[in-house]
Amino acid sequence: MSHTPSEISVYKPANEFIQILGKPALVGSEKLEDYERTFYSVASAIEPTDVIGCMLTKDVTDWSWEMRRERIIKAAIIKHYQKEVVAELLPLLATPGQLGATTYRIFQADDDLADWAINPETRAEINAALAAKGHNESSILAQAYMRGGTQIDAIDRRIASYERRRNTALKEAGYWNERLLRRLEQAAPEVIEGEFTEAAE
Amino acid sequence: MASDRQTIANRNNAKKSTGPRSEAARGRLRLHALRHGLAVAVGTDPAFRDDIAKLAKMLSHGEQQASEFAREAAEAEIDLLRIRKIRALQFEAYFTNGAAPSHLAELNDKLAKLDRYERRALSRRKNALRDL
Repeated sequence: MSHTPSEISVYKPANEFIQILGKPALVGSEKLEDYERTFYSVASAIEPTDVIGCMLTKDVTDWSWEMRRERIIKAAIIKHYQKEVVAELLPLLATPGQLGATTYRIFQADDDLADWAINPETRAEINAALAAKGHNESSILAQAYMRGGTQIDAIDRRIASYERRRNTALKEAGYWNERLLRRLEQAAPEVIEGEFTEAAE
Repeated sequence: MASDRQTIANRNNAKKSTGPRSEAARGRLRLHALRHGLAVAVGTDPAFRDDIAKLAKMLSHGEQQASEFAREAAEAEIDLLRIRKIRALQFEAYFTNGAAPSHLAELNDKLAKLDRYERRALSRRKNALRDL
């Protein structure tokens, strides 16, 4: 892990310990800088004083990171199914008559769908047109949730489990660090969490 | 059902085969039964021996002879790091395959299996740390 001078003043685990931890387990486009920012935010909230504190700091960071990753996947899944629903509804926007719908499906529906996914203006226009046909945004979202229900449910359960483990690690850190324990006793856990949640999510 | 003649021929043919001969091929076969390797206790894996010893020493505040609990906590911590790396690899495979929702069911199964190992490692570490 690289350090910036201001971060070192907050917290500096032993080099040997950093070597044992190795590189954080990042995936796809996740950035090391973002992970480190989360790690140091957590460290400034937990204020670890020994190797046990460092281990628990890493735990809280990793759970926050995993939750962030799962939420991104969940958003992608919902968008995938929303797109699927919109793709099925788009022919409703074609000119009345069978030929119009078929022509639209062949020549323009794919373009409109691609545009709907990336262009907010097109998205608003298509959403308004679909709402006029009785399919508003909420009903499209509901259908997307129904289609991806199993996957979304599995992700939600994992997020809930990571959240529980993060809170347990936080309490465990309080067991080892009197100052943190006093803060945990004085403030609701959400307040302590809020100190680093923003950096993670 | 095979005739007697066929059975004798099968037995004779089987005797001719002694499996893979080259070291590389034997090495590949050794890995056939290995999925993620988490069933193997991390303490018995030579790849992690040094890290476990170093971390146990740190947990024993630098004492030459790390306590049994320090070693147990170190093993569990290394196990947790190993599990998180495997989880990241599974996510990586999911993203490499285009992150299609159809692949998510497979990912969910794999993550559920990992979760069991992680829960046990967390519990082992917590108990060992409290006994330090």
